Amino acid sequence: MNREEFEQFVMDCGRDILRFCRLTTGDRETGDELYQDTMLILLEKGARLDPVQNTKSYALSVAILLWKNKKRKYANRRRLMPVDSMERVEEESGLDPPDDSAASPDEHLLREDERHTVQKVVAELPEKYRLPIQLFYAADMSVQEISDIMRIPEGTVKSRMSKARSLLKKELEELGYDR
Amino acid sequence: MTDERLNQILKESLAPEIDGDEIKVRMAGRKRRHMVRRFAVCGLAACAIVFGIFTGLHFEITPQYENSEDIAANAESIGAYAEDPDTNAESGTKHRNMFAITAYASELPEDIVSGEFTGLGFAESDWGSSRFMSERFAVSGHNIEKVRVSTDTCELYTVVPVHIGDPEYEEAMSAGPTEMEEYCPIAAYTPEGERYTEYEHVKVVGSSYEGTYNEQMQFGMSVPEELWSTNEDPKESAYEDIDRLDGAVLTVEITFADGSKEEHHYRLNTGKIYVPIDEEGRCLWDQLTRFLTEEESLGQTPYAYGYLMEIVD
Repeated sequence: MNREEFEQFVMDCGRDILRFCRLTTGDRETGDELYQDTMLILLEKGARLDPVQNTKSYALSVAILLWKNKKRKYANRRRLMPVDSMERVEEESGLDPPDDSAASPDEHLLREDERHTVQKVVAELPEKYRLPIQLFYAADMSVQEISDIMRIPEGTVKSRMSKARSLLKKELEELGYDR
Repeated sequence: MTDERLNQILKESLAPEIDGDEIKVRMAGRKRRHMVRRFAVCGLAACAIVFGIFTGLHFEITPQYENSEDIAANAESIGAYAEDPDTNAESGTKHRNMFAITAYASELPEDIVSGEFTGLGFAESDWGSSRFMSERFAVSGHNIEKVRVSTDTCELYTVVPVHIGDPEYEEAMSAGPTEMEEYCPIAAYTPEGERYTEYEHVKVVGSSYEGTYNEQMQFGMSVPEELWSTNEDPKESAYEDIDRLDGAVLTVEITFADGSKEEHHYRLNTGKIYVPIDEEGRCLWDQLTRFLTEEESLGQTPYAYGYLMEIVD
């Protein structure tokens, strides 16, 4: 993968990977950092990536592994940096705050509230159920690709997703979502 | 709730729109290290288990954080580190059998007592975790042929730099990370300041390591995943993992070229380690030799929470 191909890959798959990173880490800033680290590893390995390999699957595998091995470090870095420094980093790195202008304040709050509730319910699932759901919905991966990333049979992915959906449905109904 | 409705809720909640600017890969401007350095130098209590400068070798990690002064400083340390093979060969015969535990492979003073502990290095933690504790040590000395290091608590990991031209370099470029082993990309610079990539091969080796002496090899401690703290406070969690190593005893056995052996034991003690700072305000991460005094721990002295060694016998 050359530089142009990498840029194209970022355009094609970056959103899915970033979304997955944010969901996995549970917060925007750490998710962004995990995304950056994942993409830099990909860039370092760019020329060596097998063209027939599913690069997106590889990137998501790297993100999962980085997070598993390093989450404590990410968390500590976040904690150690004073709040004003965090703001300065965001300014220097060109990160913009979330765009709140698209909806009315009430609509936005309701939508955000619902999103956070569902994300929280998903985050509380055991990892073996949570990962397939996040990969499927946030990273837009197929069952076969999830099977490759998690290194488990497709049948197992399907049964875990089915179990996860059933747990989520029960939990969301208890929270007042339509039955 | 129908399956279709659940599907719709999950899609809407787990796949929010992401702006094109957000997915840009930032090759520059990730200035965390400078931020952290200022943080430390300002005298705030830098609970610094998470930051550091890799001082054991002739490069620093993640070049996007560094400025030209750092590169120049690195270039200087290349000179300090790259030993003349002729001199080495000579020293191999001229010096008595001896070894010491050092932050990295280094020239040793003539009057050092064999087995002595001179200090630890502190590695960049970008890829670190309790699996790869940040502090590292090396075995330095003269006429060493084989090294055996073992621990009675937790595990060890080894770190070996992989340079361009090494047989392992190709593998390092293509290998993906696994939980127990990783080739970590390291930014290195030519004397002209041109950047290129080298690697560190970081690998958990279990409770003991035995092999032919490699003066570039470093060792670190690894806490097995089943022992990781479940404390939700990240700092407390990290401290608790480090404290797993408190009281651990390492055995280092050296076989010299003439077949003779020497063995020493070292105890690990955990706590807040004093991080010295030079005149330019840089933390000296390869000179971690003592814990904070009681007085210092009440003030704003920068520290790293970790372990130090003391020789037992």
